[in-house]
Amino acid sequence: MIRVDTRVCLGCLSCSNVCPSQNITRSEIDGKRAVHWKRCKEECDLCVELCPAKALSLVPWDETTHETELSFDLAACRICGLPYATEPMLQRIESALPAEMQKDASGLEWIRICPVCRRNVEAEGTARQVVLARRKNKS
Amino acid sequence: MAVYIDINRCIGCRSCEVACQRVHGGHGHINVHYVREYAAVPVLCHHCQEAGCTMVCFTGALYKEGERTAFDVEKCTGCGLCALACPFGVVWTDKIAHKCDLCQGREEGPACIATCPANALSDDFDLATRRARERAARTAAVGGKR
Repeated sequence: MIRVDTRVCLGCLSCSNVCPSQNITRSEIDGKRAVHWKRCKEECDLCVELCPAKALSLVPWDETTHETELSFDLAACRICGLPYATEPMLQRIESALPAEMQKDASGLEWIRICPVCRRNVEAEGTARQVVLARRKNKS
Repeated sequence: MAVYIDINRCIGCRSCEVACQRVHGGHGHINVHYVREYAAVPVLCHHCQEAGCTMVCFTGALYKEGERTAFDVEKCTGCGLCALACPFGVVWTDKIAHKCDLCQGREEGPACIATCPANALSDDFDLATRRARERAARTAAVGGKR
């Protein structure tokens, strides 16, 4: 059986992706991500090995324990407001990247912005250079 | 090496998107964005020297290989950390991560560069700046008119 250390689980999708018998399910509804670990009798430890937070361990089968379910509030993008990532995942990114990388040249804290908006910011920034160059050529 | 973009040339035809999808089994890694009516900008992996995606990848599926930010699909668990660690939002996960691999194994080099009908994409770092200097020189030579 899988035991989950609920204090360190990031709420990422690693274990659910690698489980060969679909014993770990997830759902995303209304800005919340829920991860559900079924009671499994397998001796496979793929999820334990491939957990980025080392939150999982295998324990002997016990019929009396309940199935674990964790629910994470998804953080909202600071630009579009749509939920896009769990708070522990974002904190992990913030602790893994060097501080000078966490803000772009304009001081934007891009980690708190969803990937879709990051692409838009990138496109807008590049386009601004072209528009400025065109104006210069016209004058 | 990376793919360099001269957006003065991009006509927004999305041929690069199609070429990328063709090479990568339907999952493209380049996206043409339209910035109002001013410009079309292909957005794709910069192959950063200090790549955030490789720093957060805990299985070593994303790694630096020379200038390329390479990806080993066998090691990927699809955790999604890389997608959140990319400042440009050009890595995404759908069970596994998807990102530009500069068409690894394709002898002719990246398909987007080969396909672009406007020659807006290249793997030559100096080309875009050389063109900009040439444009400026032409402008100066004809007295401010192009």
